Amino acid sequence: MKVLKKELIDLRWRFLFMIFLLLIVFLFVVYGRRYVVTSLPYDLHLLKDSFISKILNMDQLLKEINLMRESIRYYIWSQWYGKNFYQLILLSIILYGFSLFSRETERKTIYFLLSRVNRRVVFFSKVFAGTIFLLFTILIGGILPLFISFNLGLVGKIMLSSFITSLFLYMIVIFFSIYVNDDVKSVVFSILFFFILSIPGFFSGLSVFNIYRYMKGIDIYKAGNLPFLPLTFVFILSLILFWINWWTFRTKEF
Amino acid sequence: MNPMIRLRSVNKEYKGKVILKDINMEVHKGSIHAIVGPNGAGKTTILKIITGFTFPTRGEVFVDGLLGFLPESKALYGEKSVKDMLKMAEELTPFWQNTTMEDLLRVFGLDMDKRVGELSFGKRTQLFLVILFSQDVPLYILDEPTLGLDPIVSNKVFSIIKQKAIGGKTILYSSHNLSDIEEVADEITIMRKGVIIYSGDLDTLKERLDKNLKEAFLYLMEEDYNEGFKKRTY
Repeated sequence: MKVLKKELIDLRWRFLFMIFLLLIVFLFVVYGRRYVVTSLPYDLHLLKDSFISKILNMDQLLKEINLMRESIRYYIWSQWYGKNFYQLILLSIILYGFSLFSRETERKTIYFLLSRVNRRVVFFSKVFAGTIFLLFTILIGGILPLFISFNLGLVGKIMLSSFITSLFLYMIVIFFSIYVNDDVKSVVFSILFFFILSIPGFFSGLSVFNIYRYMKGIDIYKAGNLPFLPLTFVFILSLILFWINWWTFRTKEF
Repeated sequence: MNPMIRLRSVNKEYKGKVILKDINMEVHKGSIHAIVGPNGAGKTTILKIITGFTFPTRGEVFVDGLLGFLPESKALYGEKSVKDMLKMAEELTPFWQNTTMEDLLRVFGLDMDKRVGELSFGKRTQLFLVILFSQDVPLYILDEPTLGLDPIVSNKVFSIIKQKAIGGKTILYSSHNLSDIEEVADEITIMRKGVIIYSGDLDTLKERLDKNLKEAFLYLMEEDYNEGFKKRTY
């Protein structure tokens, strides 16, 4: 508990920063609706010769624009859960995880820590501290739309889906934090890996492998149900990564 | 005497390079045991193996009980004040003794409000020593404890080490300062290029070679350089 307290204290400013950022971005999304809606084109024929018409399905785009114009619920889902919220979660995953281990190694404070507390306690406390803040970040960011108009059951499912996928990504960041002995490398490798994970999203046939799809809650919004199978698979992968991280830390030489 | 630490046929290789070769040594309970050798001899690696920060490629390591460790880097949390650092150490360290900490703070005279990151290397070492010796454990392992300390402070450190040994604690430390070792240590391990040249009683070494420690050390280094590395028993 003492190491956990230390880690929570160490991460508290990052958490507060993330909450502040969530609130600011959410306010921008909500109060920016009028501007966004009025600035969207009514007649997509105006765009038929533009570059955008070559890469997007214009009929689908028109449908989504009309939905955003007509329904605040659709607007919040698409602009908050579908765009800003999941990106802020990605930022918080990196912020909470990247330096947990690499900073101790880089600054050599790991000698102070590990000569007092065993590796198991250090590992679990550090990983758990980040998980707690990640959970609260998702909870706070996830419930914000409830103040406007949203279905509690739907929000709960989206938050659960976001949390499970976030755990997987958090375990990847933790792995880099343990494996490399440098904060900068830990961030760079994490971002690079996050980008690689987004590649299936560029191909419609592979979109089921796009982890961000489950963070955004696309299937939940459209079908109303949790994508049970993919989430179970992601959760199992997270557990495997957790074990790999523990093994890497337990056998790491300093 | 019972060994507090025992290393049997310890070997360490890293990226195909031999760091330690067939290390056998014992550190006895209540002794002050110094490890000495040129840079790159493997002193720090031995200490890291004993403390569990690195692992031997082959061989056995036995440590009897809990230990306190002063690392070569003396790295602490730079953003904290000395006061907060001590508070954090107190929270994390088992067998912490506040009375010992207060006594040691009087000896070293640290500015409690200063940030650790603003301390000189010497002052940071002193703070780490306060933290180290405030922990009541049977074994203390110190990597270059007097590096960066002036002779007056070094003398204080050796007084504390002697007091701890009198109180039944075991001290294992590495150093380059042969005159200090001669003054405080009763056991010595001399190393060169990952091999132990001598490990045992300090007085016995001096008597057998009929030399003081500095002369004995230089003699062994030179002899070994000419004859190849062998562990000697005198």
